[in-house]
Amino acid sequence: MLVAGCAITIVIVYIIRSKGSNKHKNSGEQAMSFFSGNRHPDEGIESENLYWGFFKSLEGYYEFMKKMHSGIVNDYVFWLVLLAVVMLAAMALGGIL
Amino acid sequence: MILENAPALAIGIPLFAAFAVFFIGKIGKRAMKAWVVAGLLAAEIFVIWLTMDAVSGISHFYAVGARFPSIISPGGFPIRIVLAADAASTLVALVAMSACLLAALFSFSFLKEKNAGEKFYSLLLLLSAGLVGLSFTGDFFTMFVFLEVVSISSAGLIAFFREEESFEATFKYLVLSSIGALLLLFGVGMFYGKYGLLNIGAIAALVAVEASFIDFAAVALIASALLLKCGSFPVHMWKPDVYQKASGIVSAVLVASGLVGIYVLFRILFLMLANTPLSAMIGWVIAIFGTISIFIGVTMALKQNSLKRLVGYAAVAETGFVLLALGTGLAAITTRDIFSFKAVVGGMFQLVNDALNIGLLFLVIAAVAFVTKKKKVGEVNGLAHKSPVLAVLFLIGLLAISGMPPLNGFASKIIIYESVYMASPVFSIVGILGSIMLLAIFVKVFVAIFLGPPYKGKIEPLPKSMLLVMGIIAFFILFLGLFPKQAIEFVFLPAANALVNSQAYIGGIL
Repeated sequence: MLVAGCAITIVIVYIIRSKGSNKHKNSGEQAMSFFSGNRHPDEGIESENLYWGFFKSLEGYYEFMKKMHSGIVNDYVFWLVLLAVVMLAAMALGGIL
Repeated sequence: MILENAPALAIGIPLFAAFAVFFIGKIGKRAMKAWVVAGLLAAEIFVIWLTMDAVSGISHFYAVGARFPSIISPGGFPIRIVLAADAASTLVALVAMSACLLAALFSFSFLKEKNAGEKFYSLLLLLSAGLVGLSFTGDFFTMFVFLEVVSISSAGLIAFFREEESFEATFKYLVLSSIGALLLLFGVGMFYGKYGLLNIGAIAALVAVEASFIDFAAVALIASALLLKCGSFPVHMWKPDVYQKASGIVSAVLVASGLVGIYVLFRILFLMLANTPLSAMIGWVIAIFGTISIFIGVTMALKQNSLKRLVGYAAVAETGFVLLALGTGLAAITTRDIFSFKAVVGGMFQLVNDALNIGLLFLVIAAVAFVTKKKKVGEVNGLAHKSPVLAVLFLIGLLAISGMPPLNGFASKIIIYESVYMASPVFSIVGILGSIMLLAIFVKVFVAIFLGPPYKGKIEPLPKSMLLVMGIIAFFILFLGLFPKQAIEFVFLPAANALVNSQAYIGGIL
């Protein structure tokens, strides 16, 4: 079954590959990258802009995350203490229930 | 005779090799490399032998210092350092030891340029001894000691290449590790104050009959320290900070280190809470932490510009999957539903997959930095034209971490989705969304680094040792993806059984 699957995959890959053009040049317009049909600008649009809409709609969430991930070790210790408190509270609550 | 002492030797050999490497290094670089590989390989062989025994039903419980310990407590257990090598602990030790061995092989070409061999390998050997010790330990005090060994050697490795920002990451790691270790020590002190014991199995047996809030408070403190170690929400922030600043090789080993932390956490939780009503509450709390870790991990990874930081957040998400699965398993353990056990099997499978997938991605990043000589891998693009092998290896890693069939990530995540869905559909849906977003994140990265116009800079040839290590990891990713049934039956079912079955562990030690 596995061998048959591999054989079919190889055949499909071979067919797709054989459809390719052998006239491709590594220079000139063929080698240039385009963005929405236009020449890709050298600056301004980066890969992170790909999910711009996502970040925009979750702006509030990302603002909070930015504060949480401050990079300051004091803040990290605060979260550790908070975790210990939550775990202790969960234990106490679980015992009562 | 030698095999009888395998649990101790698996820790002792790398520990000895770590100190002797400085003397061997005086002979020459080749001798030093051979010594490092021999030390790690010998320990690996012992761990493999213990794993083979454990999965076939023979667990090894070893009292250090005497074949038949003469000092026995009134409870009937040896008052010595006890090492427990069952199917769960040996699997985790195997992952940790393999990560260290592969990191050592990978680093040979890498460190040639840095000219800092002995110190690096000494720290790596020390870390491997600490991780195996942490996996096998059967008493709380040794656990604390090994946790410290792991923290200090990890800190040394993070700061190793002496770049300004890596010092900052090391400082954060050390501060947090120290506070975490103090929490753990406080919890251990509470147990010792109540029972006068440090043996985990003996304490678990007593907790099962005379549990009080002091026991649960001790478990809460120990669990907090271990959640910090594995990088779960809300104490995951150190992880991307450290992974970004450390070398890719070190980050790959630190991933395995975090996974050992998860194992120790659940070993204690299953032992101490499985027979109490608290298992459901704590199980759900950890499952919620796991779910939030997945969400935060993927959403934050999506926004990162630094590639290593991005993989660091993806590692937070992947840790979340393991916590979600094992937390669900713990929550439902009292009802003995089949899905709860299935969740534990999925969690153990995912634990191994995390080490493979994230490890491969970090090593490919390290290899890209090596061949292009760029410090910031994000500056590289179109590399697939000049190094198609790295492109294929990265593609395997990204598809595996995103849970795409037929790779290992799919095999473990489908078990997690199915079993968690039975307990909580919402958590399962968040998990599936997390996987989809991981794919979106890594496709972006793949396109940015490997596709586009050909890379214009000069590239070094990829050393064979690096290629071999990444090839081995890619092979296991494919193997576990193509033959998950065999892997589950042979390794993960016995491992999950050993983790869940607290009576077998307690019985083995007492």
